Amino acid sequence: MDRTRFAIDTASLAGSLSEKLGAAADAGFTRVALRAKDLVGEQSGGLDGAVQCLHDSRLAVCGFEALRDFEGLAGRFLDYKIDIAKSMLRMMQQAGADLLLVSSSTSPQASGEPEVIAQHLRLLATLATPLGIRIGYEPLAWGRHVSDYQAAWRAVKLADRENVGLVLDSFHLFARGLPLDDMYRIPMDKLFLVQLSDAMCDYVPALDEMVEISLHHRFFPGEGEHSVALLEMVGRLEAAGYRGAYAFEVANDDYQQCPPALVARRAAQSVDWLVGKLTGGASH
Amino acid sequence: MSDAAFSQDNPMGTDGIEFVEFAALDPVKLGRDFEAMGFAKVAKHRSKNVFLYRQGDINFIVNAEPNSFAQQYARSRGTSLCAVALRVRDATLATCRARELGAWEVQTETGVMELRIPAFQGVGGSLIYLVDRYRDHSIYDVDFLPLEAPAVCEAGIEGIAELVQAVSPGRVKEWLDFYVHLFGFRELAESGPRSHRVVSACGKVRLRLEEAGETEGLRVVRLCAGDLDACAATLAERGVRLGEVLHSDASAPRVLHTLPESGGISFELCSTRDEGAADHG
Repeated sequence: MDRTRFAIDTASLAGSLSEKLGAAADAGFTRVALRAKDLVGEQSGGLDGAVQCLHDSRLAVCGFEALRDFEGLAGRFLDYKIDIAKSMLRMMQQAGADLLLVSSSTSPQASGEPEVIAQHLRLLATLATPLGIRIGYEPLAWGRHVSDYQAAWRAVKLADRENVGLVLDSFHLFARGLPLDDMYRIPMDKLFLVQLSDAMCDYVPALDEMVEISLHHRFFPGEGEHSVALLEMVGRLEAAGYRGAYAFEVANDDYQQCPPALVARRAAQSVDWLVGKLTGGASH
Repeated sequence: MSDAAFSQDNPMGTDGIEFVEFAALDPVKLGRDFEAMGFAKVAKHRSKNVFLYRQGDINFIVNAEPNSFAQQYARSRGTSLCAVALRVRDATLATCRARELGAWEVQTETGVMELRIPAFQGVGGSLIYLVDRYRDHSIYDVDFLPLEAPAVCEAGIEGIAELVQAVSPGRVKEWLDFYVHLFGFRELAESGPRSHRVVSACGKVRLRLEEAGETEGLRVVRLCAGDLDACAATLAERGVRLGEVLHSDASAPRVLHTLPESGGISFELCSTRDEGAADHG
């Protein structure tokens, strides 16, 4: 398995954008998933400086995060969110990022009508087409109306746009505790990105605990209790024909207190572990 | 005007192309090229260095206004097609619908007493305008001053048969979705594995999407003439360089003229009759 298919999420690393990118590149990564926050928060040179820093790093961007709580809104809230979406799309155009991650809405204001959700995904698809950007719809385990891969896939199918697909995060998949068999039957060209992280516990947590773990206590694959499940998942995705990127999305408070170079090296070891196990598994 | 412009099958109320706008590093030369092709310089913008060239049903705008969108476009891409204006039944309604569907509205500079024409983001940074003044009063009545009767004679070019949009590899379907969803276009019979054609609900705007390099944009304007051979002979007499017959499909266009600047735009010439026949095939 090709190591270059693994990317690290800048949220996994502490420091400035240039420190994060430097650490990722030094650890052998060739692509990153990028947070809008990292671009606008760059200390020197503003957005242009951040974009320059990204170009200098020669790292490719496999995903841009995140447009949240977009679908299902109406009136001025929808208009507001469209402005936010446009701003993110413009930043992506500058940064050379071509996949916008749109996480399923948690807003109490949001409609759960499937046709409204599909309509808003189409709206994003239309906004993004002239800029050459794709829309990756990602179910959050605590999404208000869409919280698992099956509901998200139904929304993507209903939207019926070439540049709208799915982004699936192992944490959110495992947190719901649903069987994943149907996931491997989704046409793999509609799966735009897979995010991987490990966890310290192997059970289906309650909602508030779920959010806490997701935002603060994730691990790199192979470091936690989901290691076996992650190997199986990646193996079955590969067998189903998935050829996109895997991004390590590891929000971890401990890692936020470590030098990014150290954390990036742990991420690289995780790639070694995954590639080793999967390649070994294929040879039996 | 066709009934199609008012039917429910045509939600944007499209009714053809009002004008095509060009960005040129050397607008004077581009204007001379158009005159050689039989276009007459008929009007100048009231306040800007913008000229209108006309032949048959075709309006070509050459925008040489410094610091305009078109000039910025020319600086980054060379001579190119930078905007297409679609005729719509009601620009206000069409604009609202376009916004709701996710069309990316672009603010354009408008002078005092000038019409504000709604503009949306199109391919490769180009713009799509929506124009509803094209019957009794035109946009040119407001914003343009007519020039003295021009000396050039028409060459028999009647209309725009098709625009060709270069699409980066793998993106044809995304653009098909865009035109179908936003403008109510429908796909015509496929003309090749890497080339798809769409037509507007009014039947008057045809677009061919062709996979090319990474730079997307509108690259070719296919013009049609009632009498192709006579038109070609007239153009040849005027020194317009005519190329070989390009395609082997039913419409058999000739390459009319390729503007030499980098990133440029080319014109094709076909017979109005053949172009009509090709759609039924």
